[in-house]
Amino acid sequence: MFSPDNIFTTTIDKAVRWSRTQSMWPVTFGLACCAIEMMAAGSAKYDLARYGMEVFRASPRQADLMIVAGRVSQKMAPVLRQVYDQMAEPKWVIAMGACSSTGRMFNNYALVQGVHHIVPVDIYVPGCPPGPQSLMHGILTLHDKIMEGEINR
Amino acid sequence: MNEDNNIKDDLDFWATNSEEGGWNISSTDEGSQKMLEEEDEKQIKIQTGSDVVDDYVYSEETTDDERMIVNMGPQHPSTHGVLRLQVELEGEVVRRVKPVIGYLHTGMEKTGEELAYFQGPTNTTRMDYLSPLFNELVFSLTTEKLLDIEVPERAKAIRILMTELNRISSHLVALATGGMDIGALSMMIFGFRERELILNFLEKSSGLRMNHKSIRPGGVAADLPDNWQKDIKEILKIIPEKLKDYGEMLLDNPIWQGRLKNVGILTTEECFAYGITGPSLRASGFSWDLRKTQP
Amino acid sequence: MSLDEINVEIDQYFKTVEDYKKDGYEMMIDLTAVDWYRKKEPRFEVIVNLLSVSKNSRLIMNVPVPDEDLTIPSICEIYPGANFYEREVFDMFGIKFENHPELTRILMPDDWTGNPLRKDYGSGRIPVQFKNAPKVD
Repeated sequence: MFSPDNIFTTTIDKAVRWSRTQSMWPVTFGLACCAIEMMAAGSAKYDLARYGMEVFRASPRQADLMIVAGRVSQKMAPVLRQVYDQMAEPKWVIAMGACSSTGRMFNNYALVQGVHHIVPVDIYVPGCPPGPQSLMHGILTLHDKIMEGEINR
Repeated sequence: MNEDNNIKDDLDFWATNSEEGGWNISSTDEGSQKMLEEEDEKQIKIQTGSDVVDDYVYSEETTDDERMIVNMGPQHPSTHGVLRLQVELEGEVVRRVKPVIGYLHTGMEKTGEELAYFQGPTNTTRMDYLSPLFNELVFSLTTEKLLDIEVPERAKAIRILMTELNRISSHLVALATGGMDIGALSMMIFGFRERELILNFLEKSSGLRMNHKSIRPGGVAADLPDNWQKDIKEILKIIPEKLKDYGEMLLDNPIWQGRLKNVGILTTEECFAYGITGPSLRASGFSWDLRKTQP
Repeated sequence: MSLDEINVEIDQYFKTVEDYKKDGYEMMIDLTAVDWYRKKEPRFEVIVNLLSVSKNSRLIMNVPVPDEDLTIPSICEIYPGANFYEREVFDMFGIKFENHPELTRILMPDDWTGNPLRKDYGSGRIPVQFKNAPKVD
């Protein structure tokens, strides 16, 4: 909608991008161990509310960001795609943890080796499980990337 | 009589919650107001499309016209993890439930066939991710039994210390998420805050906050850190006070009682028939603790 | 606390389980199977774990399954909790259970072919080439 090359809308572009980053709402896709770390990142000691995303919306139609936390099995893959399709534009995806970025040591028949086979991923956060600090670093990197205009939705 | 009911019901492969008259009576008095809230949430979830409605057919064979079959899809906020429930509701009372599992099947057993005995705990520790040390303990104990390995005394004591801490943290998560789902949102903040203390200590001694591989066949990966007695004394001082706080907040709470009392009762015979052990068995009135009976 | 292990033939399997249930073994803890591929005849063996809370003892039953037709009576009528376990064994090994109320795949998606936990089913590894490692095929 806003073409980044247009010289007349640069400040409006910046304002729009800034407002998009300041209150992204994640949708819960916590599957396994990384979900616990995601909940711990949202709780008292490492607070996600200061970045405007304490509210984990239940419904994908009200969310901007999908954090895929945990291992995605073959049975779960169509569900993941369906939830991603139900989200409204603009949307971003963070693949949290080593199990969703690649298959990790579960290199076998039952897991999808990397969630990028199913949905387009913007940021990978490594770790098993990634501590809340790593997850927040990932989220802030996403904010920076959107502000710079590298990711255009 | 109870067991006959169970067997007959199970042959149809539906697990009913309860057929006793006493429970139905309570569905029309004050306590049922809270169940209505839960029902409202479900309908909102369907309308907003967060229930992943698959090709589960609305069956027309039920005679009551108020029965409705709802698919609580594999992704929704009240199950932390993936569990798909096909629920048949009549008004606000759940009549039948059919769970569909398998969305998190990882093939751990197959991967475990290709690993050495020393790499085993890395695999098994992620089976129950809320209490990883227990899974490692089980694996190490079986390999030691099969290979006749002797474990030193200090290692045994360290193992027990760490697993008991893990048990506390796992129950804290149960309280926290249970409280959040019922409605006491601050319960989650409290629960996770206490858990941070325990995880800090475990991180000091093993290196990772969760899924650490510190219990291996033959003992423990590394000794406890230097000031461990001071740390543990602090933990043991703080947590009982906070537990008193939770008790104050939750036990006398009318919402908590109204939503949870007399809902989904599991009697002891049912526990025996289904093979349920652990805290659920103790909650149904039968005292069976593996730590006391089989040390 | 005692731990016993017995071997049961497939013809007396159902009756033996019933006898033990009357005897005091109230709970069934586990039901799984083993694939002795080329190590032992017959190939598959079903293992049942029983627990008696009144006598504080456990019992392990090994039941070899004949190779020609992989069927074994189901004990869902005796222990209703065996339902999911038997479905898992059917899914993973391909052993069918007679008189089971609903024998479908439980862990793999419904249209999956193959029985994953058999020893001749590969683990489906996808070879991963690490960045700085010497090249392997």
